[in-house]
Amino acid sequence: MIILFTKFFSLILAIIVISRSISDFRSKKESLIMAVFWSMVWLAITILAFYPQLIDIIIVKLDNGTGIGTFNGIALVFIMFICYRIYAKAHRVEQGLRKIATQVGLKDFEK
Amino acid sequence: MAKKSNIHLAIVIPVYNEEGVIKKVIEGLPTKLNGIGKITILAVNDGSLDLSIREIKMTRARLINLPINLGYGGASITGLEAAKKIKSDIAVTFDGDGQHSADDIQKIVDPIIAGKSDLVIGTRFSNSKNVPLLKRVGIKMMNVLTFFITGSYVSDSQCGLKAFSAKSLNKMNLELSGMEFASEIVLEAKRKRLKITEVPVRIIYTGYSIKKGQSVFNGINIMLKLIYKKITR
Repeated sequence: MIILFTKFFSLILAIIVISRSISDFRSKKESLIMAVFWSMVWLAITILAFYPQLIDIIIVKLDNGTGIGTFNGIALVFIMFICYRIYAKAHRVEQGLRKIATQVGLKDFEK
Repeated sequence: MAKKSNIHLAIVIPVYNEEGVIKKVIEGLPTKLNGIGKITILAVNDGSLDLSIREIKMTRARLINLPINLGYGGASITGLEAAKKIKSDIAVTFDGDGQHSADDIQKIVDPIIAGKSDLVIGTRFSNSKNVPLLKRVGIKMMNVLTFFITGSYVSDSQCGLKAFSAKSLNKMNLELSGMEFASEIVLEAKRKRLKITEVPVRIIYTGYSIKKGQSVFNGINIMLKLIYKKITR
């Protein structure tokens, strides 16, 4: 049941990120390279969610097979999503703020 | 570019809490330079919390007042935008903390007047004995980081004394608000294939200017922002 939920959750997140990247690219908020990069990253994450044993194989190589790989995989997917959205959003807000402040400063300057 | 005698130079000074030195810095700027017909000083008050505005108003500088503190890059970009609006042929960025020597302005505008360069960057490393050790190490690290991200090596990527031709001002897409702005200039110059020249300049280190300088740990933030810009633009 948990595995099924993980698969479903990862798929939903991947769809959100990929569609958001495509939409941002279309509205010229994001470059093609960036849209392709995030699509590839999330495609890879979705594959790992559907085949979590891949993570186990990797983790087994790293931690002598304690079987904690699946749990780590879920956590990583979530952290990745949060980090990506926060950074992209913060960057956009900062840019918007900079543009507004510049415009206000220059408006007074022109008077 | 306008005829040599008609060249209009804008000197952009980002100002953040510099009430103690800004008046002296502006008054020390040249009123005449060889090959320059007109000089306009643009002091960008970057949301200062002290009496910097009052001090600026007592000088010949034109004041641009930002409603909030944007950071070194945001203030400089605003000043450079103003330089474009007043149709200056060359714009120079000059720090407001008194660390630059006004005598170096002639040296950094000369390559642009001569048509040999689009962007001139001052370098303090012609006589690096003058530079404090920690500062020297930090700047060298930033140079290497800037090189890895931009593909261009300049010996003092973080120097605030820079000169831009009107062509480079129009071509560059500068947008980063913090100290990463200094490296962003190199990135944009490389992307737009602008010709960069480095000119030795003197940095006046005082207790005040060292205190106002950036922290070495700011490098991580600069690195993140530059990498983000590199892959998203």
